[in-house]
Amino acid sequence: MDYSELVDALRNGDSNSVNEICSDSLIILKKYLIATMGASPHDAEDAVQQMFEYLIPKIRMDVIDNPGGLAKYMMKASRHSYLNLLRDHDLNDHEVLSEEPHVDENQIWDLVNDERAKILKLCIEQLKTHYRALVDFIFKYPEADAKDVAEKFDISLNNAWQRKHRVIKKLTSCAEKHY
Amino acid sequence: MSEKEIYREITRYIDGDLSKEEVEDLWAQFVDNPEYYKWFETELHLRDLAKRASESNIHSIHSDSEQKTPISFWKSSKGWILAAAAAVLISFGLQFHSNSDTLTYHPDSISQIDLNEMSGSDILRSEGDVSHTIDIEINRALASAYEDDSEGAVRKFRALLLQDPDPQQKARIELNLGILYYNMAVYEQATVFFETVTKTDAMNRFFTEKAWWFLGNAYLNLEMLKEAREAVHNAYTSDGRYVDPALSLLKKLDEELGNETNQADAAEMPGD
Repeated sequence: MDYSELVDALRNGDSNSVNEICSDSLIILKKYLIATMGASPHDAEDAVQQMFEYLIPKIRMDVIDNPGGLAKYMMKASRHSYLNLLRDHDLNDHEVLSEEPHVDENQIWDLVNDERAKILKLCIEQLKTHYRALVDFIFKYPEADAKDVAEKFDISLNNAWQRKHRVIKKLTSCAEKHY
Repeated sequence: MSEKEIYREITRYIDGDLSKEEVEDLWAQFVDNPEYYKWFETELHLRDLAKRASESNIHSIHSDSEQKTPISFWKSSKGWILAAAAAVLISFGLQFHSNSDTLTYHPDSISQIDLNEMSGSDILRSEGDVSHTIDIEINRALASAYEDDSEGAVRKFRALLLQDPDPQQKARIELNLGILYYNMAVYEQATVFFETVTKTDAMNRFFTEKAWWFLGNAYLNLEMLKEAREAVHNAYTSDGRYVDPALSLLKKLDEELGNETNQADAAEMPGD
C-alpha cells in the first residue's frame, strides 16, 4: 500500500481514490482482528470502518508523524476500535474487560472458508505434474516440513523452500483469477 | 524482509512458532503488501485441505518406516562414507527416478534428448596416461548409455568425476550426466550439471550453446520460466544450431511471462 497516495488523495478530497486505496487494507485488517482477537467477521468489519473514520481526519490534519509506520498504527487503532465495540455491545458481560481478550492459539483457522478451499482444489488440479507431486506429498504428510520435502525430492533445503513458495504463488495466482 | 523470508515467516506463523511481536510484524507486512497476505491465505487453506485429507487416510512422515528409512539412511551416511558417496547417491537418484514415473515433461520442452548429443572422447593420448584411461572410461560409460543402461552410465560417469578429470573431460562428463538425468526426468539434477557446463571455458561455444539449450529445457520442466528464458536466450544468441527452436521457445516463454518487449528484442538479436 502506498500511503503517500492515500495522504495525497485525502488532502485532495479524492474519495474514490481513498476508498480504492483503503479497500485492500480494510480486508486484511478485518482478517487481522479475526485471527488475533477472535472477532466475528461482522464486528471486525465494523471495527475497521470505525478505525478509518478515526484515522482519516488525523491524516487530513497531518497528525500522523510516521506514515512509514502507518500499518502498525492502523492495526493498533483497529484493535482499540474492536475493544470499544465489545464494551458497547456487551458491557454487562465484560465489566472487567481486559486490554487484550483471551485468544485461542488456533484462531487463524477461522480464516479458512469453504469457497476458497473449493477454488484451491480446482487450482491444485491444474498444477503441472511435478508441483502436483509436491502437493500430493503435503496431502499425504500434512506435517512435512521443508526438510522432509528436500529429502523426498532429493533437492537442497533451499530449493525445497523455493519450490514450496513457487507452488503457493502459482495457487494464489490461480485462485485470484477464480475468486 | 525478502519475499523468501516472508514466506518462511508465514509457515512459522501457521505452525504456531512466531512470538506475539513477530505475529504483529508479519501482519504489518500483510497490510503493507496484500500479496503477502494472499500467500498466507493460500498456505493456510492448503494446510487445511491437507489436514482434512489426512483425517481419512492417516500418514505420519515420522512413523512411516518404509518411506523414511532409505532416505534417512542416505542422509546419515553421506558424511562418513566419502568413497562410497557417489555410488549411494546414484542409487538414491535412480531410486527416485523409478519412483517418479508419473512425472511428465513440459509440453513446450523437448521430451527426450537424443543420446547422440552426448559427448565422447577422442583416444589420442599415449597409453598408460591417466587422462587416456579416463577418456577410455568416458567412452565405456557412453556405450552403457547407448545400450539402454542409463543407470550404469550414470554410475560410471559419476565415478569418473571423482578421478580428477581434466577440464574438457569434466565438461563432457557433466554434459552427459545432464542429458541422462534429463531423460530420466530428474530435472533438478540435470540443471546442476548443465549449469556447470555453461560456465566452463574449456569447450568451444557450440558445446556451451548445447548446454544452454538443454538447461533452458530443464528449467522449463521445473516451471522456472524466468531462468528458462535466460538460458534459452543464451542458446539463441549463440547463433548456432539451436537458433530456430530457441526463438520459437522464447516466443512461447515471453507469451507466458507476458513479456512483449523481450520478444521483440529476441527477434532482432542474432543478426546484430
